[in-house]
Amino acid sequence: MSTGSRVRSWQYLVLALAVLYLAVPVLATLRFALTVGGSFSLKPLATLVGRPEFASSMGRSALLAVLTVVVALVVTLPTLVYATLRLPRIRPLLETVTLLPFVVPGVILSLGLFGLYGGPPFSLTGTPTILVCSYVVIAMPLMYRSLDNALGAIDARRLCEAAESLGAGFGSTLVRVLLPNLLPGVVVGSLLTFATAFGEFTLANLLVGAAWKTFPVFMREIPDGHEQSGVAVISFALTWVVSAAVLWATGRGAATTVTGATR
Amino acid sequence: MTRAEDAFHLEVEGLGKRFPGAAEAAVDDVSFGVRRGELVTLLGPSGCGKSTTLRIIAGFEAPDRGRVLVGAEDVTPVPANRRGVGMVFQSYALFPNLSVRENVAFGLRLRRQPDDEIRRRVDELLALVRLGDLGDRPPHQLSGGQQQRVALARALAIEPQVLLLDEPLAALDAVVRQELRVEIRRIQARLGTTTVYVTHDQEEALSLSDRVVVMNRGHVEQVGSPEEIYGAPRTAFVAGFVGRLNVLTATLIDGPTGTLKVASGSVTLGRPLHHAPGTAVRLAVRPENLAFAPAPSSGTPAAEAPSRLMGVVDEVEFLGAVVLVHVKAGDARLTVQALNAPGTALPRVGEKVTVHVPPEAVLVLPVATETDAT
Ligand SMILES: Nc1ncnc2c1ncn2[C@@H]1O[C@H](COP(=O)(O)OP(=O)(O)OP(=O)(O)O)[C@@H](O)[C@H]1O
Ligand SMILES: [Mg+2]
Repeated sequence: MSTGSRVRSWQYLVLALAVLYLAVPVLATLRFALTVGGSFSLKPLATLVGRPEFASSMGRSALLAVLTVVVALVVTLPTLVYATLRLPRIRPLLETVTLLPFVVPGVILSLGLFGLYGGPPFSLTGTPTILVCSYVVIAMPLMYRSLDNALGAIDARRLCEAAESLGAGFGSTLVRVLLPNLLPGVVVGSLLTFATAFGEFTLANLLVGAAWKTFPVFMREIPDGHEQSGVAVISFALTWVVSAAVLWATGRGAATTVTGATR
Repeated sequence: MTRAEDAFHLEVEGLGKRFPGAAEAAVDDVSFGVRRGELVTLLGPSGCGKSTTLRIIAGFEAPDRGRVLVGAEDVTPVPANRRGVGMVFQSYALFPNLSVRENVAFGLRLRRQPDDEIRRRVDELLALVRLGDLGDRPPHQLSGGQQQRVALARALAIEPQVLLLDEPLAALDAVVRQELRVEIRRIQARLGTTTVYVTHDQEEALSLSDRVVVMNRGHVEQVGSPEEIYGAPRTAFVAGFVGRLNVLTATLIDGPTGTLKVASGSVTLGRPLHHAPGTAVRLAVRPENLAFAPAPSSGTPAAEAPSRLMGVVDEVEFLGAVVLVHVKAGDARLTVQALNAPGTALPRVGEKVTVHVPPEAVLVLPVATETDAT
C-alpha cells in the first residue's frame, strides 16, 4: 500500500536523522582526539592512559560500581518479590518510593546526604561507603524497573506456589526458582546500575572529591584539548559496551518471554 | 469396614474466608471429608469458592475460621511447604528454566535424596505419566497435555499425603481433556492418593469422582456420590447445575395422590405431597426421562390421560447420537432428549406432540428457595 510505504520511508528518514544527530559529535570528537597539528596521532590518548591516576581512578569506580550492584540486588530483589507475592497492597507505595531518586536532583541529594551522614554517629563523608549507599538509592529506579519487568513476564505467583507445595521455603524458592527465571532482568538491572555508579560525578565530587578520586572526578581534571576529547571517546566507548550488553541481555530476555508465552 | 477405613484422611471443618474489601465471603462454612484413596471433586460455577477452598487446604491462603485436618492432625497453622500436599495448577506452572526431569526431581532434590534414588524415581514417574522419552526437553517444547502430565508427575514425586488439582484440564482442548481425565483417574486409583479435584465441568465431576461436593456462592449445597448428585439432588441449585433439567411450575390439586396441574395437562405422582391444595410447587425432570407418546384420541379429557403434556415442537437440536427436542407446552418449555435411532422419525418444528412424564422420574423441588435453578 502506498500509505504503508510512505510511513516506512518517513521512519527511515527519522532514523537516519537521529543516527546523524548522535554520531556526528562522537565522530568529530574522535577525530579531534586523534589529531595533533593537523595529522593523525595516538599521542593524546597515550598521554591520557599514561597518567598515574588513570588506572587507579578507573579501578576505584569499577569497585564502587560492583559493590553498588551487589548491594542494590540484595536489597531490591527479595523486597520486590516479597511485596509482589505476599503484600501486593504495598506495591504502589514501593513504586512511588523507588521513583523518588529520579525527581530529586543530585546536588540536592548530596546536600541532604552531607547533612545526614557528615557528622557523628556516621561520619561517612569522604569515604567510598557513602557513595555506595547513595548510588544504590540513585540506581534504585533502574534496578527496580528491570526486575519488575522480568517478574511480570513469568507467572511468579504460581511458580512460587508450585515450589512451596514441593517443600521449598522462601529462600530456596528465591534462589532455585525466581533468580534463574528472572536472570534477564537481573542482568539488565545490574548493567544499568553499574553504568550509573561508574559514571556518576556530582555526588562523587561533592561528598568525597579529591580524597578518593573516582574516574569521572579524574576526567574533569584533564585540561581542555585533545586529551579531554580522548576522555570523552573512552567514556563513550564504555557506555557503548554497557549498552550492547544490555541489548544482548534484553534480547535474551525477550526470547525467554516469547517461549514462556507458549506455555 | 473397619473404623480406620471409615475415618476421613482429609477433613475440612467450617472453613470461612472473606478477602479484604470483598462484600461477600468467598468461602462460608465449608465442611467435607475425603477418605484415604478417595477422589472427591469440588464442583460449582465460577467464583463459588472452589479454588479458595483448595488453596486453604494447600496452605496458600489462611482461613478466617475453621480447620484443615490431614490424618487427624490439625495442619491449619502449618505453612504450605511443610504440609506434604501436592498441587497441580490449571496453568501447569512448570519451572521454565528446568528440564522435564529436573521439574519432576525438584521436590526430591529439596529433600536431599541421593542422586541415583532420584533418577530411579523420576524414571518411574515419567513412565507412569507416559512421558518416558521426553525427560530432557525444556517444558516449553511440550504440548499443554504433556506439560500437565509433567506437573502431575512433579506433584506425585513427593508422595503427597493429599493431591490437589485446580481445574487441571481447563486449558486443554476437548480430545486431550477427555484422554487426560481418564489417565488422571487411572494414576490416582493405582497410587491410592487421597485427592481433591476442582472443576466447574459437571461431566468431568460425574465421570471422575468417588464423591462430589457441589458448591454455590461459598457454601456446600450437597455432598454425595455422582449417582446421588445426579439422581437425587437435594436442592434446586444442584438439580439445575448438574445435568440438564426441565423445571416446571405446578399447582397442587390433590395432596394424597400427588396430583398436580402442569401447563397444559396434569401429572399424578402416586405419592403424597404434604402441602395444601393450590400450593405452587416446582417439578424437575431430566430431558432423558421424558418421551414422546402417541397422542390421546381427541376428545379424551386430560384427566383420563394422566402424565401427558401436549405441546408444539419449537426447536430441534441435533447432537449426533442424541437429539434435544424443545417443546412449548402451554407457558412451559420442555426439553426432551430422544435417541437418534435408525428408523425413528424425529419430530419436526411446528409439529404437535404429546410428552409422557413418568411420575417416578419427577423430582419435587423444595418450595420457596432463593437459589434459582434454571
Ligand atoms: N486473592 C483474592 N483477593 C480477593 N478476592 C478473591 C481472591 N481470590 C478469589 N477472590 C474472590 O473470591 C471468590 C471465590 O473465588 P474462587 O477463585 O475461589 O472461585 P472459583 O470457584 O475457583 O471460580 P473459578 O471457577 O472461576 O476458578 C470470587 O468472588 C473471587 O473474586
Ligand atoms: Mg478457580
